[in-house]
Amino acid sequence: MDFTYPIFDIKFMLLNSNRSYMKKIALLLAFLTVSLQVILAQTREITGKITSADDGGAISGVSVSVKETTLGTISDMDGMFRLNVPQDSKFLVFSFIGMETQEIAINNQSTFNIKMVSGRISVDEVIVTAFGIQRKPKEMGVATSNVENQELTQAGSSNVMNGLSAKVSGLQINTINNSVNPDTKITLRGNRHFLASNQALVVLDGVPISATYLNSVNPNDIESINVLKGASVAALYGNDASNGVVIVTTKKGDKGKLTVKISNVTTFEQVSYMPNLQNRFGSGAGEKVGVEDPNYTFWIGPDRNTDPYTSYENQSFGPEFNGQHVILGGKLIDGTYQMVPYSAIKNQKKDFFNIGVSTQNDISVSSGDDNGNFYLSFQDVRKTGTIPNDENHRTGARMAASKKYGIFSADYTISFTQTKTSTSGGDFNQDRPVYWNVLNTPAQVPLSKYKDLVNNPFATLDGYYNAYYPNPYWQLVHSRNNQLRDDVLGSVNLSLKPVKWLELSNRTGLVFNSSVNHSHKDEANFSTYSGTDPWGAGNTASSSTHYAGSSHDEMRKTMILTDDFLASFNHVFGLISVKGILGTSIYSQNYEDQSEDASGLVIPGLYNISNHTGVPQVDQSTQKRNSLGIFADATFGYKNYVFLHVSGRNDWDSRLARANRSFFYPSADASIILSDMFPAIINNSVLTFLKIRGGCSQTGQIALSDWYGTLQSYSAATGFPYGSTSGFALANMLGNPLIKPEKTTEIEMGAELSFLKNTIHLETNVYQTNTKNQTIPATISAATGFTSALINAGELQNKGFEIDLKFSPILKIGDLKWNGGINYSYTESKVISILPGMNEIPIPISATSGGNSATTVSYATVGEQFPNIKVTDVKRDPEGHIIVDKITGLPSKQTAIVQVGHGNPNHILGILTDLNYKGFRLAAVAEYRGGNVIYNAIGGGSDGGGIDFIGISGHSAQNGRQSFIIPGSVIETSPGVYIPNTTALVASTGRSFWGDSDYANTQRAYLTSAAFWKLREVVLTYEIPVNKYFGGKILKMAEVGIFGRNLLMLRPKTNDWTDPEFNNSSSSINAVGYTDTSQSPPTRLYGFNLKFTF
Amino acid sequence: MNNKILTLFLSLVLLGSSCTKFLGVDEVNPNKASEVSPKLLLPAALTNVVSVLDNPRNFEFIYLWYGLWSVSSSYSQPAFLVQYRLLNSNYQDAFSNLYTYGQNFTEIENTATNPKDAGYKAIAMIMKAYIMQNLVDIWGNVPYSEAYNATSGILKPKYDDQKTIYEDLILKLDEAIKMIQGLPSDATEIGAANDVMFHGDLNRWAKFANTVKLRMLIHQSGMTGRDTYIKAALATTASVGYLGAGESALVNPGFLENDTQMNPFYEVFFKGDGTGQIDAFSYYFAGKDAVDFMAANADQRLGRFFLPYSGSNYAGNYLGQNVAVHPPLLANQCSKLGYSKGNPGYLIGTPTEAAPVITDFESLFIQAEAVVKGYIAGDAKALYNSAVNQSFAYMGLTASDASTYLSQQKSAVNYDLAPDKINLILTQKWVALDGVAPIEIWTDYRRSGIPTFLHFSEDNTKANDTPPVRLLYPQREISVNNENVVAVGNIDPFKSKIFWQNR
Repeated sequence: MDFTYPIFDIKFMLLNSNRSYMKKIALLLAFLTVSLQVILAQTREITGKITSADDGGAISGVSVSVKETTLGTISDMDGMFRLNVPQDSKFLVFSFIGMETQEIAINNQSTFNIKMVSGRISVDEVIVTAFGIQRKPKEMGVATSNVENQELTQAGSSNVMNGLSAKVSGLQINTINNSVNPDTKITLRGNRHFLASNQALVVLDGVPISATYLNSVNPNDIESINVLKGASVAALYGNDASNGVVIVTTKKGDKGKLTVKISNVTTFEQVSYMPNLQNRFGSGAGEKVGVEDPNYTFWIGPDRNTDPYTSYENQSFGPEFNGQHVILGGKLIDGTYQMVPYSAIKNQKKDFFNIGVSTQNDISVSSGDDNGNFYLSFQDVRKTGTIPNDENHRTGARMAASKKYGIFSADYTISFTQTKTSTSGGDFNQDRPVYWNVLNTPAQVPLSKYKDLVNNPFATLDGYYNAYYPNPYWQLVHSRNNQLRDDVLGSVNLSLKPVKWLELSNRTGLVFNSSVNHSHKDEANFSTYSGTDPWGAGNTASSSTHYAGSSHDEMRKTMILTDDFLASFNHVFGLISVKGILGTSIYSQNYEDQSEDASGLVIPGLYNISNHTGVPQVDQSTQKRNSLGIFADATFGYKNYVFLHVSGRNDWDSRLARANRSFFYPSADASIILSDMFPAIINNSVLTFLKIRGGCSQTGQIALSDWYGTLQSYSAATGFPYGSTSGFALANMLGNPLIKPEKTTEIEMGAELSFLKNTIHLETNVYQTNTKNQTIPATISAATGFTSALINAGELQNKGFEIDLKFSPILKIGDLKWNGGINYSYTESKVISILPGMNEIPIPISATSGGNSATTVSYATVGEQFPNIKVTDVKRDPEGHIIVDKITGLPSKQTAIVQVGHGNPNHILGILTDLNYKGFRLAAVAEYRGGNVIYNAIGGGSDGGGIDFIGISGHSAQNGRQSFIIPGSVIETSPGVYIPNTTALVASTGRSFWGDSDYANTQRAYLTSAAFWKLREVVLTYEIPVNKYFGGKILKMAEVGIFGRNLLMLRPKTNDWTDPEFNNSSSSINAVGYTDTSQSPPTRLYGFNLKFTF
Repeated sequence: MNNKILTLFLSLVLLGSSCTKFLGVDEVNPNKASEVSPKLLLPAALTNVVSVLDNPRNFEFIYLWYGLWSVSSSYSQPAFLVQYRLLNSNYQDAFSNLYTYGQNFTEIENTATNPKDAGYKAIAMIMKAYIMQNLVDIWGNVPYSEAYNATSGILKPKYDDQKTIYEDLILKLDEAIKMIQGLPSDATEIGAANDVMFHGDLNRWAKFANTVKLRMLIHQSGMTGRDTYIKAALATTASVGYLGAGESALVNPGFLENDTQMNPFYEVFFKGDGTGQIDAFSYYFAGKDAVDFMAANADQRLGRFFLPYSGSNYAGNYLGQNVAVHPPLLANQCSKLGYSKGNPGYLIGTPTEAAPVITDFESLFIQAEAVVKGYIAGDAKALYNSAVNQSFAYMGLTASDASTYLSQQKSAVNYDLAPDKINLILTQKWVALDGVAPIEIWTDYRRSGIPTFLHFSEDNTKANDTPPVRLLYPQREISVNNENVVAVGNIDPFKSKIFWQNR
């Protein structure tokens, strides 16, 4: 029917053109009728099915047309279409909102099974912003970024955050530490707060959750993640949104028949590299050995007092390896002792670590029609770690469904996840981590032989060779941190659309989390024989002859209830469209924590508080907060190319004192689609789309770590109660009722451009945020009766720009299609002010370095980037050369700490590539970060702190431990006059230098650039053409793939320590730029996955 | 159906608007008390005061400068002490702690508003005066009138004139004594357990207040033209009397041998689990001046203050002695501080013994001096003998030991033979107060120059011939309350004397 138009036109023309030649016309008509019949005879029927490439589900409503004609149809409910096309038609065009338009050559084919791919570039898709408000990209005055499920899960990550790395400009994901349950930190556009959290707010199906909760979510359940970079769209979330918002939307179930998906991901995790370790020198501490018993010590070289071999030593400052057989440790009570070849064992430390295996099994069922849908999924993830015995087991289920009854609709989602984690804890002696005790193993020690703690006499507490640190295998068995965590997340959304222009909706959300931690350390009891120090080590294995055992138990519970009510108005007045929203938001959070610590285990292996001696330490904390927000939001559109968006929200929050409880923040943004406004500018073959936009906004954040920080408080005074005498004393921090929220003001400008018919898409943003009224615990005059008070002061400024460039495609040859993208962001956080008369505050860390408490290297310093890294250093001349003593060649420590850089990267560059050929897909993601520095305490810097001190590092064996001149050092000949040092050699380069010198005991020597390149993801998948083999009746889709994560990492040569992405504190702490042995070594991951859709 | 849904929506909206109670839920802190009664504040406040004033770490400089202690030769001599070069960072914990603990007495004052609670109020006023007296004796001008006013918004209190503070404290003590004398018949009983100093005996508190007053007035006795003021001030409360023998002001909440629960003096030297000493025990040694003085007078307290380094031999060092003039004794040739595990009556007594605030013997020494100076009536010799006797008793010795000592025919001991009674009283007080009241030792020396035989540092690079006469203002005060510290004027640790110092 459609294709009769051209013929009719011709007839019409002919009929009009010449009335007088009726016969001829009749003839012609006859001819034309014939030719029409010919044409009709030359058409043929084409059929096919359109499905989604993401999940295999049928897609209805896809427009199917013949290229360069007006012939076309749309797909039906089952994704089926039928179309008659002229014989000579060349191409079919398939298009759908939010999907990539496809052109397919017809040739002689008559059946087309088309997979529609979610469009990376589509200006017509819908963006989910705050409270599920859907806005068109055109309207958006600030930057947002979307990541779809496929991108997120392509490399088999079982952790949502790891799947986001390098994919969105301005978003920084840091793995704080590798573990079976890794801690990750998520920040958007840098830091805004000195002390309060800088982590982005995560909103899961409309319910705000803390970023750490995201780790309990099954990545396969996620439909998409929308990153609201610009605060003006996030501002509606009130006082928790100042760090940007990440909106996570889970799957709801697609229209169509019942779909069942089954998948398996198996991942192997392997230590990718160790710090640079030396393999040249064995045990020895350079200490003068008291008993010159050749069974225990020997020396090589003329000076017996330097570098003797010491059989029970943890440090590696002994003589060079020579292959001879030496005693290791000392004699046991029965007179036996072990002999080992005095030569380095290859990969001895790396081999301590296992290949971790993670098995992830998923099943999901979904279905739906016009009035409702449902989605049900189960996931089971079992992981073992690189550290032996570490394991993690996560099981979860999610259910989501929706239903529509006329003007009323309802949907809900609920999920339950249980996570069990077991990791090894510190040792019984100095509470050192496993890694530390592994590193304290000289290279000739056959570490892997000490696994059997019971039957191998040299692996027992008494028999272990090391007199200073225990066998690391001990803590794998006897020191465990076990956690059981339950998460329930749910929401119910009810909505009512009484008239076309009005919608009322209410969403109630629930987040429940409970975690039970049981940590224990078993008793360690040395025999009387070894307690007497029979080897003359001056130490029994680890100072203590007896450790009584201890346990820590903690129960935590968090409950968040939210309720958001929204009334939305939508109307078009002529050329002007108006979309208005009025809403209320209620947030209520309850937190409960109880813990107990006890020592002195009575019956071994029974970890219960009743099985302890002495009085257990108990602690309890309850925190409650309620807040209410009322907001209004309006978007005005003019001619569909100029948009103005304004919003305002007022919050009342129980954490603040009554007088300051209410606070308001506004936002506004605008966008202009220049290419629609002035069509002339796209009247060329290059530019397709041009939009400019800008916005400004304000958000507040209440930065009280103690939610009762505005109140005076009294607690039991030190030592009290003494028997029945109780005593309370006032807290030293003044409860300041005047505390206000920290206020972040953001200004943002941006542009979006598309070139060459949307094949190149460029998006760029510039922003600046200023966060004032930082909440700082300020020191005040003690004569006030208090030593500190929380006050609002100080300002942190954050500037940056982002560029997102996407090519779709870069290249297309036949079935070969290559897409790619580059995203880059520049971020600079700078401290503008702190307090009058105060230019610096330390940013505390809550970490320990081994058994010793670590001192922060992060500061907020006026005029410097945040966090500013300051470390201890040796004395230097004005040009930065190390000043050494003209006799000893040694530098000396300077009292002041020096500024050496900042902890947060300025530059983050992500590169994405995606190559498709028929069913094959090869994709990769690489990331670069740079501009920041890291202090590698794993190397050294504080007394006894690192692997230089141990002498096991390659760094400490440079120059073969011969005398040397400290490179670039100078000598002060007279005050202020320095000459290059060519004469003063450091004579002893063994333990005395790496252990005791000011060079090794200052942090500057272990400071390196934190820059890196990482090949984050490489993925190869093949979609098996199941239709061809199985007819597509039962099995609709099958895919196999292999992938790798962090396969490659490039760092500057100076950083031969560890992954600079790590940090020695938890993700909630702002003090970054410090790594030590509490993080396990970096790993690479690889594996395979299988996906089936039925 | 639609009506029901509308009702549901409307009720949700109403839920949101009835929010006053909803938001008020957290006004009570569930973790910590927001209000505490005086009876719970008092025991902690009293214990905290002794934890500052009886902590030898805070006042070691006095013991070391004034010949009572020295430093073990196994540790390097603390150069700043040897050279008298004080910094703003030295010994400043007491400043912060005395004020923050003082705040707890302010809280008691503020909460004990009911006339029935006047006893609590009086105790708080007396203790605040006692704390302030110590602050003035160490730092001179300090915040007073604007101190303890953070809740009124004063975060930078001004520094008041020391003499004005002292005079006002005398009035405050008078007021407190009057309050105790005029207690209503239905006054709240201050339980023995809550008052960890005098077990609820308010008459003893009045005597204590009067003793503090006498202590402050005797400090001013060297000032010219001050006698009239002193006598007038003493006359108003003469009837109350002073702490006598056996009436020592000692604090003991029930000290236990546990970390954080021990006697504050003991805690510096020994671990709470009974397993042994902390470095401090091997850090401090006997002072040669003290050893020599006691040895010369056959003082049995020598074996209580110090331990013999071998047999019954005692020896000490001077702080900062010149190697060429006085070669220092090695650790094994020198006496350690007195200690005998589990036995009271030694300098480092026991973990559970009470901590002194003002001992009876100090009160008796002060009274003896006041009698000699004609401020109060009494028998100076009897007071002196009683003071020495009580000191012996405190050191675990008997009354006959004391009388043997006192009856020696030596002018340094025997009241009758002493040519200068004040010199006798203050020299004996110097020894007796070792480990008990360091600030008084310092104050007595600064106002009188007694003992006269002390050996000061022989270091060539010392900043001054004699030790500083005050501490510098704390660094943190300079940072956070700068304008008020600056307003006090330039502080010279050797010349900026406390107002009562007339030498």
